[in-house]
Formats: sequence, structure tokens, C-alpha cells
Amino acid sequence: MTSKYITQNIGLKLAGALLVYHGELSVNDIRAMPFFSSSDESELVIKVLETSFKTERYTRKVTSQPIPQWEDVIRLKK
Amino acid sequence: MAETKKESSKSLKIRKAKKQISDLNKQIDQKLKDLQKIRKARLFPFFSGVEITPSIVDDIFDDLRNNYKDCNGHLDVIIDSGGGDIDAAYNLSMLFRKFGSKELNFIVPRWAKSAATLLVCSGNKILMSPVAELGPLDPQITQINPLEGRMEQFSPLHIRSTLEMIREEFNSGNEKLATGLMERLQFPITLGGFVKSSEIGQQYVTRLLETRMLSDPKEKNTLENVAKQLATGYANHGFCINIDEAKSLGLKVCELGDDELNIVWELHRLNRKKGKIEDEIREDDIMDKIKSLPPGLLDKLPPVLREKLQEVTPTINKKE
Repeated sequence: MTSKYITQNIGLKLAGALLVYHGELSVNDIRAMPFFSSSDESELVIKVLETSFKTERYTRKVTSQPIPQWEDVIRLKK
Repeated sequence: MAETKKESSKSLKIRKAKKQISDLNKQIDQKLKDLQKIRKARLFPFFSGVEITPSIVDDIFDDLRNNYKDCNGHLDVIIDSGGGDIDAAYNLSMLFRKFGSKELNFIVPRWAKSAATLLVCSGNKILMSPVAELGPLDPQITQINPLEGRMEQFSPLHIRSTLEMIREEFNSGNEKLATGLMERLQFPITLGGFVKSSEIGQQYVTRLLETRMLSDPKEKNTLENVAKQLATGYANHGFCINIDEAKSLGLKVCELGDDELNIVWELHRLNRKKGKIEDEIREDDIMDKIKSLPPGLLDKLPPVLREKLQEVTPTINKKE
């Protein structure tokens, strides 16, 4: 139980720092962090970030060809 | 020296991964062309990988206006999506219909769940692989459970079953238990709002089916049954509505022919393979971003973040 929260803590702090520093952070980037033992943990971190900061979520198109692809991004509101 | 060696092996790894992605893109492009040729219709690849959102509708509108004017009212959409915003999915359905004004068909290699199921119900036909899945339309509500510090997702249908359970406990004489459960419930108007939200899926799917797939007045009963079943008839949002289940509901679905299936399945596989490589690159990228953070930034994070963390994970840092 404790280790679960510690991994979340590290992931949350680093994701929070990246969000503050860059002003936005892709949801897939958070999911790709190697600090979570399950997708529940990364989803919790995403939710906590969204409620701890004044944020908005938008979808950004990353490629058009051959298949259009998008990613969800959390952005700090100005 | 060791650092430089590590860097060059990393850049080599990234270059190799990018080359693999480029090769996979070429193969995917060729498969899409092959499928268009067999189906004799323009094909829109909607392997979104993210939730259906209003911004996606904007982008697809641009794409269709710029590149699909020559489709002459015949459009196929190959889709792989876990769902998303149901209002955006409805809007997207109407958009695809404008370009597939004569015939609009959806091809599902693997998943078109939740709001994506609503989307595929807007077509004339749904072509499914033997392992393709559609899913129920009951909305999902996500929130943080403050007592247990975890994410929970529930359907408005669970509210009805919870109330039923409390009523049963009360009627069986377990008043204390029933009262305890009642006290843990949320504000009644919020619950009422959640329950009401389950009607939206049924309304949208009825509108879509009655104007295309099940437009024959003789199919009115089927239409009502399909809409009701998709919105409220399944016990779990993840329920697997495979091709047989979709047929028995009354949806106009058919299995992909051998040649079509070979291409569609290959497309699915290639896209998955590409996704895995992209995830590996992403993990390297995010670690680089972390390493390049200015020292001390972590300590300067707003206290609210720490407080929120304590609030949602009350046992944090407590040793067991």
C-alpha cells in the first residue's frame, strides 16, 4: 500500500513540475512515466493535476498522414 | 566519455525507432489504398487513440473539406476508438453523413465502444471483424474517491441499483445499515442529474438510427428496442457487443469478407505495432524532459498540490 502512494507521489511531483515549467503536459506523457505500477495510478495523477491547478484540457493533432492522430493535453490557464 | 557513448546509443535507438515508424506508415498507407480499391469508396481512417472530443470534430471537418470532396456521397470510415464525449460523437456522426450522403459504412477491426458505438450507429451498415466490439451507451462518471484515494468510475445505472439495495435493506428491517448508506450518498440533485444523463445516449442513438440504418417505419419496434438496450440494457459499460450480439439486437451489421478482413486486420496490427514504438520513444522523451527541469523546481511547487495529494491519498507516507 505504501509503495503505491510513494510511486504516485514521485509521479505527481514530477508531472506537476513539468506542467508548471512547460505550461502544458500531454496526458500520454504522464502515462509514459515509468513511476506507476498501474494505469489507475497515472489516471489518478492526471485527475489530481487537473483539480490542483487551474487547467483546461484540449486535444492536439499530432500527425495527419497516413492516419490522423491526436493527443490530450493538460494546459495551465492564463 | 561514458556519457557521450550513452547519448550516441540513445540517439541511434531513436533513429532506428523513427525509421521503423516511417516504414510502418508506408505499409499502413498502402493497406488503406488497397482497402479503398476493394471497397470502391473513399476511406477515412479514424484510429483516434484518444477520446472523441469537440476539437477532433474541428480537425476532421477540415480534413474532410480539404481531402474528401471527391467521395461522391460514398464514404467508409475505419474506426478504432474507446469512445469519448457523446455530444461530440453525435456531431461527428452528422458530419460523416454529409460526406457519406448516399452511403456511409463503418468498419470496426477491434473496438468502437461507448460514444464510438453511437458514431457507428449513424451509418448504413457496420462491418465487423470476428473480434470487433461495440459497447453500451450509458455515460460514465469519473471522480476521485476521497476516502480510498483512488479513481472510480460509475454509470448512472449504478445509482438506481444502489437506491434499490438501500430500499431492500430498509424493508428487511436493516434500518441502521440503510441510513448509513443513505448518509454516504451525494447531494440528491446531483444524483438526479446523473440519472437523467443516461437518457442522452438513448435520444441520440434513436435519432441516428431512425434516419438511416433503421429508417423503415416497419422497423420502429426494432429501433426502440436497440436504443433502449444500448442505453440501459447492459449490466456493465464494458459489455462486449460482438457481431452476433449486434445482429441479435437488430443493428445492420455484417462480417468482413476474407479479402477485406485480411487488410483490415493487418491495418490494426500495423497500427498497434506503431503505437508501441511511439510509446517507447515517449518514455525516453519524458525522462529527458524530467532531467532538464531546473534544480529546486520540485520544492517550489504550489502547496495546494501537496495538500490535494494528502486529501486524496490520506495514507501517504504513513508506514504500515
